[in-house]
Amino acid sequence: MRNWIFLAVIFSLGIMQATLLDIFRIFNLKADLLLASVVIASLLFGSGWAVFYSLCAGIAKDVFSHGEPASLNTVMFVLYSLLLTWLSRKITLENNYLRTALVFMIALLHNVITGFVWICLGKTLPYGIFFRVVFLASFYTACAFLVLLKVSPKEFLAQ
Amino acid sequence: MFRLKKTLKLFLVFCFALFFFLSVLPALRTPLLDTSRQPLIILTFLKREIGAIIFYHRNFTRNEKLSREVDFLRQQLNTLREAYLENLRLKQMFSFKQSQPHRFVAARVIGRSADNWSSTVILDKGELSGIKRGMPAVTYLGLLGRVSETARSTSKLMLITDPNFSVSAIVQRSRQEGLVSGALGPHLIMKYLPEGADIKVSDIIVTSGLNETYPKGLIIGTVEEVGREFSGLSRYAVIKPAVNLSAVEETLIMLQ
Repeated sequence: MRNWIFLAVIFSLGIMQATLLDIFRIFNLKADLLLASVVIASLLFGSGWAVFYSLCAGIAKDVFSHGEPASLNTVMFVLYSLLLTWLSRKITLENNYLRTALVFMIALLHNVITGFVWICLGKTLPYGIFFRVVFLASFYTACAFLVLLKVSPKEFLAQ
Repeated sequence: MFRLKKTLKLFLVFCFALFFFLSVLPALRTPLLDTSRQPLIILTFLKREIGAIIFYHRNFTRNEKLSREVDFLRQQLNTLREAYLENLRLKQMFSFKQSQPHRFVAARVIGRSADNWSSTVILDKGELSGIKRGMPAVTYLGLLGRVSETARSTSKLMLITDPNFSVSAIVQRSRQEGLVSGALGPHLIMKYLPEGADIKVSDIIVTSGLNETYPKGLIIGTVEEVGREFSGLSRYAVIKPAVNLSAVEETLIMLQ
């Protein structure tokens, strides 16, 4: 049951990211709730479900964003999920602040990769905007992750 | 033998993943976008209402300011209406054929880009309303963007601030040509201006009509800053879009 609820949560987060989250834009940036959900899925569920959720979150993000280059978010989210499940087997990730730091790192990595892909595709991106998206959006995503953890029911987050 | 089997298995998984990501996923995107139409409409409505409550004071003062502006503009509109009617009479007098070359479809914005690297909006009209990929979108203030993806009842509109967006443009005053591109921020960049280009701050930039997609004369924005490229060979201009892209709720798609 919990697995299907989480799938509905991912879909809702995708819709929210395309609509309601616009109100909470800071410096014209919004938090990446779908990426945060990938981290939560990777830490809470087994690798099979985690990859499935990451795939769904990636598809949702590609559907509601520009979607170019084709399926970049889907591919990257699945890779992050694999990386995180591997990492959670190696080290203990129980502390919420440690998890938040992890989200910041993943978001930073994702933004850097996406930014470089855009630049390599020949798009005009001023340095200021590039660094603003890379650092501020990652920080904002980490903060949103912390809020998500706080508002989620404790039973749901129990491994 | 075991290693060969493992390599073969890995190769097959890789081939399947490649096939899945490159062919199946892009095909899934449009039906998924169509399915999310109703939740997007409901949540956009909710967002508008919540925004109205949060920004009550700002809206209140803005309303007062706009009311004053409306009075002033009504007066101007009346003068312009008189001029228009006079123009119409003169045109008829000289037997000019009044033609309306474009048809429009009005669409509502029901969602915005989920990521920070693109500037797109989701519209509540799609192929059923005659919208096709590449069609320009405008508001009464000027150019808004271009349709980048269509589904049956929804479509995605790439705004002029998206880094993928480029349009051939001219300076209205001097007819100096350049290429206007989005840069993700609130401003646009007009590139490939020659060293001696006749362009200055407050100049109005309009579409040149060289690209068949965009009709000539659509207002893009006004020049805010003129600078020299790093190479020193050409100049660039920073343009403020005529349309407030963060507050756009409706648009007109130009059917061609």
